[in-house]
Amino acid sequence: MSEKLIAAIIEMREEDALKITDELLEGGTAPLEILDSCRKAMDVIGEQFEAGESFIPELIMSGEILAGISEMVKSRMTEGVDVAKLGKIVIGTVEGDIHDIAKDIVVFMLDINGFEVTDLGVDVPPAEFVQAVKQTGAKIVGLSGFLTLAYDPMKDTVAALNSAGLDVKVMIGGGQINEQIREYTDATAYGKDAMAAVTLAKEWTGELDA
Amino acid sequence: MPNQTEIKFKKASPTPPLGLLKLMLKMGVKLPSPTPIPLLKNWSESTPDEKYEFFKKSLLSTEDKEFASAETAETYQRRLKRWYDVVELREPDRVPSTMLMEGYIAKYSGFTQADYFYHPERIAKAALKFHQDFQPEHATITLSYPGEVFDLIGMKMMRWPGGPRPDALPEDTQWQYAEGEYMPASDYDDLIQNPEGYLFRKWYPRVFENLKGLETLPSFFTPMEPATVSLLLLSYAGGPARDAIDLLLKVAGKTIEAVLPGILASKKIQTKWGAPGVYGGITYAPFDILGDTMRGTKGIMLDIYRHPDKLLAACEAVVPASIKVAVDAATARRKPFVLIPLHKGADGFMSEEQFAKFYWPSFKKQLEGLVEAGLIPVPFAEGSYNQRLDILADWDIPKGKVVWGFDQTDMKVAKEKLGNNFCIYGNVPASLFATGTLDEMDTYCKDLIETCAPGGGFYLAPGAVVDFATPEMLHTYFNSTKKYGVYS
Repeated sequence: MSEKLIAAIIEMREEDALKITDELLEGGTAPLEILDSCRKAMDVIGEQFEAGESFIPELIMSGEILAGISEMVKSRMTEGVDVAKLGKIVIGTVEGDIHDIAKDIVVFMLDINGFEVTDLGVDVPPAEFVQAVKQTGAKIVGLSGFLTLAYDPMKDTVAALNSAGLDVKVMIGGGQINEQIREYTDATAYGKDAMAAVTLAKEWTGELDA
Repeated sequence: MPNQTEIKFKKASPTPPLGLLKLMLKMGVKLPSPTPIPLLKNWSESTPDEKYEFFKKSLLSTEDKEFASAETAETYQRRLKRWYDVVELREPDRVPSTMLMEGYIAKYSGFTQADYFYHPERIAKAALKFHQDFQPEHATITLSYPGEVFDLIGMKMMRWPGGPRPDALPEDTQWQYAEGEYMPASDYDDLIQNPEGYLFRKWYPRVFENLKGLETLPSFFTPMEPATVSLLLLSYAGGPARDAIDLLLKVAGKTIEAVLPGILASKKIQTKWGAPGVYGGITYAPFDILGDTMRGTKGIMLDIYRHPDKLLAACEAVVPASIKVAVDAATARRKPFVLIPLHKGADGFMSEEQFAKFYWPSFKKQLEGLVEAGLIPVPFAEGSYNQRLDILADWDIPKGKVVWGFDQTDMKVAKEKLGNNFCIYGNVPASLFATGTLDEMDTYCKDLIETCAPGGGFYLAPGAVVDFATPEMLHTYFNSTKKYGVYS
């Protein structure tokens, strides 16, 4: 792993990070090793986020830096990256709500933490969640919604998953979502931010002790 | 209420039927607008305090306003006095209550969210019914929007229900932002140099697709000789600029038609039930102006790292216009309260240092500019603002000149840190309105009032727009100030 690269990502030095990546690749460092450094850096940023030391700008910025690095690394990859994924998650913003920023951040953090995420986008009807769970065999569903109008669609989606007999755990989150709405929707858990989503997903897949 | 020594007011005259007003509009007759109280003679030289007192007097005055009866006029004035008591940090007779809603009004009368955009008279009717049934102390929003005009100008930065567009939301879904980067980062210099010119020529054409012609508007700076005056006039005479201006003229009547029922309804709410509307204008914090519909959330968050200096310069650059838009509106309406919904500076969106560097300085300047104009800014912090309270508390601004609204902020701490300088309000959760029990609502309001009301400087309000609630829930909410908010 490259400490220099890790430091550049953590400190949000985008140009440096890309330059270091280029130097590493030129110097013959294996693409997978570079990706490992990225993951390590993201672990740190995730911890900082949980500790209230990093915020949305850092999550979005590190996402951009990582996108830049993977673009450079991809062209050198001989074998496909076959990282063992921790578990499958289906996620989307519920029907009627078209907000995607927070959901995208959650998707990014889950992905970087090793989950295989199927992102259904925004304004997703309950039936689409059901279908995606059936197709992917995911055991975790994430429902996002920014506005109060998301309350009922969330409730409907949880009900649809249940009545389809699917054995899934459902996490919900968003601007006006809280524990009271978790109760109302009968979701398994409410997560306050992207890292809470990661923690929940890890708990549910047995990666963390609950 | 005991009979006071006769309150002066104008006896309400019947409003002409809407159909007649619409016909007048179609015929091109300009509708008479009410004559406001004249501004102080030396307005531009008046001090902030003089302006403040003028606005207060205008708002409290019943003499120039129509009321159904002396009793209604008294009710109106009593409510506003109570309001000013809390704003100016005195204990009133009772904690005032306000309501914040948009879509609920339609729903309550069985109408849809699309009706806000395409059937304004339904919304006006619904607004009257809501105020009749609930008798709130303060008028809540009665506005409807010109959906057909939005269609005609090709508005891109929002999506709304109803209408012919392929991206229309379903009939009963409320309007939402369509997040996008409507201003690329490469435009920062243009914006910084000339914010209004940039908006008009570059940003309007992007968010209002069918006003693309505005791109070709020339600079206003040349007309100094016959030749340059002719050239300037010529650039409006033909081509894309004229198409855009033609379209703006074409939709003007439709716009008035769409908002008129709401305006008439709010007048009636004041006339008939004495429920005042105090807001004269609305503006947004500079960082949000850039972040909401120009750079987009992702764009502006990246700018903190990629273009920090330009972002800061742009925030500064939009301050004057962001003040002017509110001052103009509030002055025209003689209503000094200016609502400022706050979005992207909340806890979690950025660190305290980032807030102090990127969000607060230009926002502070804006607030001070509004106070300087004799107005009362009412920022409403969506999400939570716990990590911002110290910064707000450490601000040298005269007491009682700004009113702070909160959503999920800890109100006990807010009261402790801000209560000596500012009236605060808000915090009754939208989730409680939507899914709580009546008892939970009653207890929540009781606790909140007990925490925040001592010494004055507090009014009851929801923490977010209330779109879902049973009528019983709303009654419980409104009644709580009468049960728990009476000062002895």
